[in-house]
Amino acid sequence: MPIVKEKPNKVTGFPQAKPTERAGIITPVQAKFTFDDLILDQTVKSEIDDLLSFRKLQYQVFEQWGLSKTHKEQKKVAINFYGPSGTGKTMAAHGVASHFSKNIMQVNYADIESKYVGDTPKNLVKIFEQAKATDSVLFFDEADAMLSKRVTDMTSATDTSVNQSRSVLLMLLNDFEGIIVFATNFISNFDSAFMRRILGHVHFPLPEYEARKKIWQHLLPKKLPNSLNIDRIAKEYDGVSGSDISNAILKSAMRAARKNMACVPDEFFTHAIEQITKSNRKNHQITVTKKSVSESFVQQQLEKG
Amino acid sequence: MLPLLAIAASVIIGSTLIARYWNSIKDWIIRAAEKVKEFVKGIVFGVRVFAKKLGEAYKEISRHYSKNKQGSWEETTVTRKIDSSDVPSDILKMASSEERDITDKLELQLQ
Repeated sequence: MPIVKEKPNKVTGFPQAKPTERAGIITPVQAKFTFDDLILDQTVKSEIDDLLSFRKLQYQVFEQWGLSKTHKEQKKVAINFYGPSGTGKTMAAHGVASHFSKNIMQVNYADIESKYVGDTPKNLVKIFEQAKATDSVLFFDEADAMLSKRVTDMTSATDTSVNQSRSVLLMLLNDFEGIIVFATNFISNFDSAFMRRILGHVHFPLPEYEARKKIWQHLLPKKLPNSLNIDRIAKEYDGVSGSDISNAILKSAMRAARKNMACVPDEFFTHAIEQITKSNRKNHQITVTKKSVSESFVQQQLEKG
Repeated sequence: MLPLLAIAASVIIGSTLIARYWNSIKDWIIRAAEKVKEFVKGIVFGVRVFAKKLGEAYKEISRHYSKNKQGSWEETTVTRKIDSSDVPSDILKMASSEERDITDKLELQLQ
């Protein structure tokens, strides 16, 4: 399957994704990122590596060890990335496609939803057929829209249609043998039937200090003259995502350029990230992160109180 | 470390700003524990509470300790940011840019 090259946007000059067609056929495109473009927490990376190795081990497990007879519907690699916005879930989905040297088909709920009852399942079928025919990685962004719990008390044609779409998606997942990635901010509402069909769920937390520092270093272009104290800003501003850091760098550079300054001063970055954290505070009151700790560490915490 | 059940079952009496503040922390920890259930499959053994001041913001941090099915320990951190203006000045004075463990202070308020 030839790789579809993206045309540059006429205004910005940057490559743009080919527009999807609402008829349900989505053009596979070349993955935009590899895992080298991502700064991930070591635990997250290792969880992803474990899931990716599943593909390599499939022949041994399914064919040589006979699981193809007992686990017929589990030959697909289905992974779910969940966590706050801007933590790299979409980039990681592209990373998965790059890892397997495959194109990616990015599906949003709006691409497949139809106001006509029965058309949404048909669009889903077309997408899965297209993914199979082109051997592409299927990526469902904002997956909670599609994988949330089915309606138990159906009162309208819409409820029936939603349930019908989800049932069709379950069947398609059973038959699919390729690679499928879901990404969501809200995992709590996933239907348990979908949870069972997904091989692994990887939590993308907001980056800790070390990761934040690496992200600042990674995203700050070497050519950009600046006086930023990366260690300080990474230490002082937590609760920010990689995407927030990226926006802060862009805003600071733009502000300095507008003022005809030869160097972007430290305070511009501080101001930008401060503004972002302020809006995040209003928008997201609570953030959750999880990490593995040693028994002795927990013991220490227990003994304190 | 505070057991969650003890927090949920306790009351903080009084209508002063300080009492209202500790009550809001208590309610928040219960909310945070609900949030933790989305991420943790094992039993949560206890929680420690921290506070931190950063510029105009004040952060309340609860760390929940649990053991997963594989027997490994996990620390789930729930962070809430609030405006410093919502925090009584006495407590604000205590907070600094370093995380400060306020578990014992909360425990003293619980009855």
